[in-house]
Amino acid sequence: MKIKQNINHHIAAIKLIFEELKAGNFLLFFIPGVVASIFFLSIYSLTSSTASLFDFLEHIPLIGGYLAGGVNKTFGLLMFLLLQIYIFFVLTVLSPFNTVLSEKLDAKLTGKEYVFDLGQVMLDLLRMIFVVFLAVFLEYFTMIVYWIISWILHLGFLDTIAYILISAFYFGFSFYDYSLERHKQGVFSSLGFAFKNMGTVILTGLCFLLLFYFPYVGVIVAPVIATMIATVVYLKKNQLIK
Amino acid sequence: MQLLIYPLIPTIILGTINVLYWRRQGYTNLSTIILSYIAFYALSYTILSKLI
Repeated sequence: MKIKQNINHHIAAIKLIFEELKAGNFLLFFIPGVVASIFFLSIYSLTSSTASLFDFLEHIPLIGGYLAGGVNKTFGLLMFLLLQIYIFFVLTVLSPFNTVLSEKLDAKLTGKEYVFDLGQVMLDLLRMIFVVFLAVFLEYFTMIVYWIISWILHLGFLDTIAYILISAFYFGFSFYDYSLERHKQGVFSSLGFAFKNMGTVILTGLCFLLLFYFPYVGVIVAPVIATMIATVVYLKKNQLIK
Repeated sequence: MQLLIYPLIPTIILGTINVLYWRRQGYTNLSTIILSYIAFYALSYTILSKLI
């Protein structure tokens, strides 16, 4: 029942977002993502060329295949971990823009204007950085705990799904924090919201990851759409809009 | 107030990466470093001023 409600909230949010974008609203918020995508492309080209440095291993007789396989596997894991850090780095760079986007969308949907003083803005600034660091730390911690459990119980076949769900949860959390911050929730009560509404948060995180893995346009589109989804779903969940 | 303070985050992150990269290439001129931070702040400020 709750899952169905979550899915309905997300579908309604996506419909509303596309109506807004079709009307030409919020399109400028894609510009900061263009800058971030240039960084993404340069980092990607750098790391892929590093992996290809070990291509010569395949030509070693008898053990070459094993060595190359080991290097590729290590690079695969390293790339996954680096990608997580990279996504959070992009989210930190984009966080001021996403905060404004979330605030503008909220004001448009509810008609409520938010006024900030200097102290509030400074606190927001520190919080934007702290939340992302907390999310990275907790994501790695959860992955290590899962990895140990998976190793003991031989749950290797579930690894990919578990890693995706864990990262989706923490990405989702960082997107809901924009709304929670505006509604005067502390960082840890924000984390409490994420754990209480795990399904909602994971679903939003999955939407983000799905969009993020689109080549080239993913980095530009995903943070904006995910921020908008999280804002609308939060308002719907708290019955602040219909 | 948001307009002045929010651009600090992209400025610090992108500016620091830029400085680290150019230091590796052998460029350590202080005025260039300061100029690059100012450039990133100006870029972020301009984008944010269009959005707010």
